[in-house]
Amino acid sequence: MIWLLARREIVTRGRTKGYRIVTLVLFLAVIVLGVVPSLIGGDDDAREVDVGVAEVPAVLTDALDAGSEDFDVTIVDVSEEEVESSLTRGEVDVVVTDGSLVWEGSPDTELDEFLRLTVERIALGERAAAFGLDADDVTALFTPIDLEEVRLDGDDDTDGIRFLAGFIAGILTFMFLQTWGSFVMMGVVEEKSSRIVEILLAQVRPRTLLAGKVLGLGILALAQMLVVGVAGAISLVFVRDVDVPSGVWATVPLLIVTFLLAFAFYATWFAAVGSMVSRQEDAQGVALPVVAPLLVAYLIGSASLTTPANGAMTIGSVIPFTSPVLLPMRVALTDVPAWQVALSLVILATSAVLMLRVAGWIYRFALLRTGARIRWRELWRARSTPSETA
Amino acid sequence: MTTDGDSLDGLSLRGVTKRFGDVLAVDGVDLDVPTGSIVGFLGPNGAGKTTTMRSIVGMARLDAGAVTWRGQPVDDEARRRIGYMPQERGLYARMKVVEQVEFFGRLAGLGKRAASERARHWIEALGLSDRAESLVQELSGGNQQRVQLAVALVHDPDLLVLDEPFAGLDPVAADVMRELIRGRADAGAAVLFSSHQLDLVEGLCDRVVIVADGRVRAAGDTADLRAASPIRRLDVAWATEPVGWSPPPGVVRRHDASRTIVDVPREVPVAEALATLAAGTARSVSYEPPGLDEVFADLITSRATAASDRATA
Repeated sequence: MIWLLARREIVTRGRTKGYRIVTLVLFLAVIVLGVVPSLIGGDDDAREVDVGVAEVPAVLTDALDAGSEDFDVTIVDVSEEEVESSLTRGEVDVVVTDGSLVWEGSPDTELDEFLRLTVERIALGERAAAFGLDADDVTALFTPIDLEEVRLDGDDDTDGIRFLAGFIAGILTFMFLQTWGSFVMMGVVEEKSSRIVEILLAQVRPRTLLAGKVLGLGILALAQMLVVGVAGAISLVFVRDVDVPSGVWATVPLLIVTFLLAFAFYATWFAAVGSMVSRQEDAQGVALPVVAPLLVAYLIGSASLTTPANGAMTIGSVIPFTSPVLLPMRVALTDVPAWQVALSLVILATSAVLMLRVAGWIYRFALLRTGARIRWRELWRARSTPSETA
Repeated sequence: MTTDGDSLDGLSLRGVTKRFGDVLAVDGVDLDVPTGSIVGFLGPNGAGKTTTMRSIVGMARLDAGAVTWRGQPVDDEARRRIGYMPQERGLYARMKVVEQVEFFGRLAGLGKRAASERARHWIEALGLSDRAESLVQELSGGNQQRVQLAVALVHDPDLLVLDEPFAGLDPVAADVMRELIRGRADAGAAVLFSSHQLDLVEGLCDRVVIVADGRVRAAGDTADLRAASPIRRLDVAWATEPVGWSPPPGVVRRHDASRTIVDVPREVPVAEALATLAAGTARSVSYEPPGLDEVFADLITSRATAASDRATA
């Protein structure tokens, strides 16, 4: 019965242009976001730059001409009078003069750093020569010192990728819970305002009706999220060629389980408040108390990206109102003891079941009452009368 | 009143009571719909018809009383054998007609193939074949009504509960509905439907139950109900003016050269008064119990009078 109801949601909504287009757009957007920076950023290849030199020593010109890993430099000789015009005409990106770097606008920080280091190196070499050191001494003096990074926890240098994963896990869960939770709510309001709920309730218990809707839309939401995830993985692994540590992949099943439980919890809540209004216009108001804890969770998570071991994060990842967002973030960002993950999931699952019971009851009370929005006070007053079928 | 033997056979409501806050919406309603019969559930707006019907399909939690189907409380299984059409029509606007009817068939417990077959059957029977693949929102109001009916009938229910099935139907559609209801009853279903359009009901129902203010005011055969009225209507169309003739005692509704209509108390004999007429004066004479609509109106008015008496007392 639940599956029958869920299937209807999947078939009717999954068939809409809206769902397909949004899913496709999300997929492409994530790919593009992954690809574009590597196209324009040129992370791997040296960037071609035109550097103008005006009245600088030949040794500096040579050093600049040699370029670096990041920069493929073309030297353009400019006279002092041409400094400005060559920049405004775009013939050069920057002009190095004796004692200044001249830019057309704000300096390109990376190029600026390269130029400064080069100028400094040449200048220091000249000064060293003045002190009587020969060229070999100078080279020896400036040999870079290779400092090895050692971590006691034995991890590879994966902070960057974990930071990214945590950020994505947080924003994705938040967005999907909020968006799809609202869809569930709008579906409930639609069924209520179109009065079809009366025929449905003649055949199905309120809780079953609710569970079917949440399951159906939950599957669609998960499918869409997986599409985004796959797109993200493609752009990360194949396009940007990032070496993703195996630990990150291991969290994927956990993320799916968490999302499903979180969706059961939040979507049911959305549905319950949706059943209290009869018009879509009133829905936003009643949804606020549901969206608020989600938003709080997201804010806590964002603030804890660099300090994932803080107390708010730890506690928040166990409380069912915030754990849907914070648990995935915490798992992605840092190492979480298995028992804490298990505890969090058990609490979330229990809360989801409780929420389903409460929501089923609210549903029963509220769905056939059309007109004005139902107040919590009315529900509270009616709570004492148990129902025999809900 | 029916015996216990009858109630085992169909739908039975005993002392059904439902309160909304301080309002007693349904107050001890007894009602029986034997298998194969059609019962009209009549009453003015706000009489408690919809709440009573919702209580049958398990949507209104009762404060007192019981609803039984074939002698058993209506459980999930029994509820699947009910075809329910609510007063407020509702369908999924963005679902295809055939899919929608199938869906409700499946909800009522039909297998995939059976649901598909029954959906096609009813869509054809209700003349919707060419719209089967259309979305419901693309249909006219009248066709949506038919889909609503198909949804109620798709699982060939043993009990039909139809809330105001004639509301908004044109005369042709009303005829179709009447035939359909008759057909289901002949096929063995128990049918309960509510209405406030008494002219549509009189020929169709085996029995009627009249409610007002949540209480049953009268129940029985339509002919019996009419016969039970304390008045008779004497209606004479004159061929020539009945000079010097005066109508029998009663409420004179019309008395002129062409026609006389008088509501006479049942115990007053009218034969003597008519006997004094010269032959050929009257073109036609009828002496009958009032129509169901007037019986109904009397019941409702007496209620109103009683209420105002109470208020002034």
